[in-house]
Amino acid sequence: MKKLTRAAISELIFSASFLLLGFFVLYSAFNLEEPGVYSVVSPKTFALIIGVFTSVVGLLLVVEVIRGKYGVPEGTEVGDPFLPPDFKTIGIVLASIALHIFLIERAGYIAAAMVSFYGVTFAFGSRKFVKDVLVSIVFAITVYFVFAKGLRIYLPEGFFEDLLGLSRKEV
Amino acid sequence: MENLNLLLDGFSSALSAQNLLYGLLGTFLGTLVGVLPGIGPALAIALLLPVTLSVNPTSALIMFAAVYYGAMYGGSTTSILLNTPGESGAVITSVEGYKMAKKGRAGAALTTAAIGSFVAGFIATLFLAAAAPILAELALKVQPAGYVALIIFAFATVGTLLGSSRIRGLVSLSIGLVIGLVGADQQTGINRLTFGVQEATDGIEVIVAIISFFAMGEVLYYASRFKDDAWRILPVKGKVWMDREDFKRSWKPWLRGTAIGFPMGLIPAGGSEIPTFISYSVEKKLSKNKEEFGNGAIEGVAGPEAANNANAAGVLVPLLALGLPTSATAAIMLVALRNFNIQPGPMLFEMNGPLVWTLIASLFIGNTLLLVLNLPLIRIWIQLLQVPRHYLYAGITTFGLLGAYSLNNSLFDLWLAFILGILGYLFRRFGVPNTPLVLGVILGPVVEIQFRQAVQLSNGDYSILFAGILPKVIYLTLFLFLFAPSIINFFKKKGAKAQA
Repeated sequence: MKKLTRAAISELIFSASFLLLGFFVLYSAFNLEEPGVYSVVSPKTFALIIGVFTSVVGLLLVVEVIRGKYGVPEGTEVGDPFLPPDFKTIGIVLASIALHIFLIERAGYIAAAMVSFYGVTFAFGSRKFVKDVLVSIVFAITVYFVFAKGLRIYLPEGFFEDLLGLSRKEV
Repeated sequence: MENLNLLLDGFSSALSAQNLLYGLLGTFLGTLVGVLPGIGPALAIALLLPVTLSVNPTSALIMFAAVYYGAMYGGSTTSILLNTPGESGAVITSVEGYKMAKKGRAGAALTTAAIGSFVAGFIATLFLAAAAPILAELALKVQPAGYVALIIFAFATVGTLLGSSRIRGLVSLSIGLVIGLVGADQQTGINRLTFGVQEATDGIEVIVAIISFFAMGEVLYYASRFKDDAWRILPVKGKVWMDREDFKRSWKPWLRGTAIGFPMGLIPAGGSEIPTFISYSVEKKLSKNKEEFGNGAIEGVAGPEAANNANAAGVLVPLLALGLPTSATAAIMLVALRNFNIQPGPMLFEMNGPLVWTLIASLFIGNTLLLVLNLPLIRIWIQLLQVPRHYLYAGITTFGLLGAYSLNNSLFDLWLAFILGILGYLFRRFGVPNTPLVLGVILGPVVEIQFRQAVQLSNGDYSILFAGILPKVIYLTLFLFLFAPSIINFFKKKGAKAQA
């Protein structure tokens, strides 16, 4: 028997999770409360159909992977499609996104956007600290100006917005 | 004739100074975003959706049309200069286009793409204006069971035609359907898959799903392998314009590409991948310079580019007349239109007549603006490709987050984008296509409504789903489409064995 590579194992886990999701949809469909109002087709019916469909294609995918037909990333990249993923870079990107979400309503939009912009820049290997921070600040403030002031789309205010005299309280 | 007058009315309401300004802005932003590597038209519209939130519907429609064409043009620019098509419809462009650029003929490739797209867009929009109202009138007669059949047909074709494996397409579709299931049931208000989260009862915002899968997933994918791929941007040397010989070799492929792309947009055939491939092989067959194919033949750029644009206009016909999107881009257009309380479908031309004709007029205007603005600006767009990659991905990430937040001002949407973004990365890594998912999210709830209406009409008798001529024809076609190849193969093998 062929030795299983790490990529093959992770793909197997990936496919099996869809099978599990299908089962879960089925399980939750069976446990749906019955509607108080009368309806010919209850909300259960469609949930059951989707649950069955998801489980079946999930199972087929698992079979496909076990038989050795692995997925190939499509289209836009060059080089070997089966590189081991660079978890450090992914981790920093994800952390930047999470920090953005954590900050946006606590510290205001500009601060949050600065953090995520700089974080992703750092993740992708740039180490020019001063330049990157400046670009992040300019980017965040420009986006805030165009969207919150120009297009009147609500964005949360915070420290920087107050500092720049942009917040609604003063305008 | 009546429709022509309506179209002219559409032009007169579209052609104000303010609207033209929005059109120019849309072309500019659309090209700007579309030219960024890895961003196709679908994501460009999704990212720019917040821009139109506070604009009046007419101006917003013009902006959409302009963004749409701008983003498609931007996509062909990256295919030609960088060999990184942002969407499947531009893949074939990069085959010959990148070779042309390598030979120092990038200018001619970009120009034939631009003019070809314009010609195709113009002709196809004319056909769209003629075909959509007729189809809408026919569609008024379609029963709910017919709709169910149509949507299932679209699911099956889009799910199985895209990507390397049929099963992966169907997995993508099934996840989309599950996402579409989340939230309070439209008819009874019963919560499905909400896990007691209040925000989830409104359902999962389609735009958030799209941004997660197309933007976050893409950035994470590049992050996962960023040390590997270095870009090499090919310079645009010499003159940008085409010469007489280039024109002579281009105009027929433009027209043929249009003739292939538009009709294939009408049927749910899985987006623009197939028509562009067909156009390419047709041009290769008909060309007198066969040996040039594979080494940068201009016909191989002109034809597929025209097919791609004509196809995009063709896809709008079922979108407007039936409310049935068959590509990721059309799906986002549907969401965008719904934001303005425009519900595409058979009733559209009666309910929102003036606005629809304005949209169609806007497509003409957007197409023209693109040609006027972009041919002289080609060199400036190319400069954009020089933006360092770390800034590019930082910008896409932050802008995607803005799009996810600004729709409902909700942290829930942002966390959702975070989680779905990781799923999007996994899809990308394991070769699962995105488009079926998007269609599932959007059409899942629609097919459920139609399904219920059908069964309610028959008082619980499920055989109504196959009643009438339309459903029967559709299911039979679908059956043949899905199984005919394997049946034929089976008998061929049998025949071969019998002979042996």
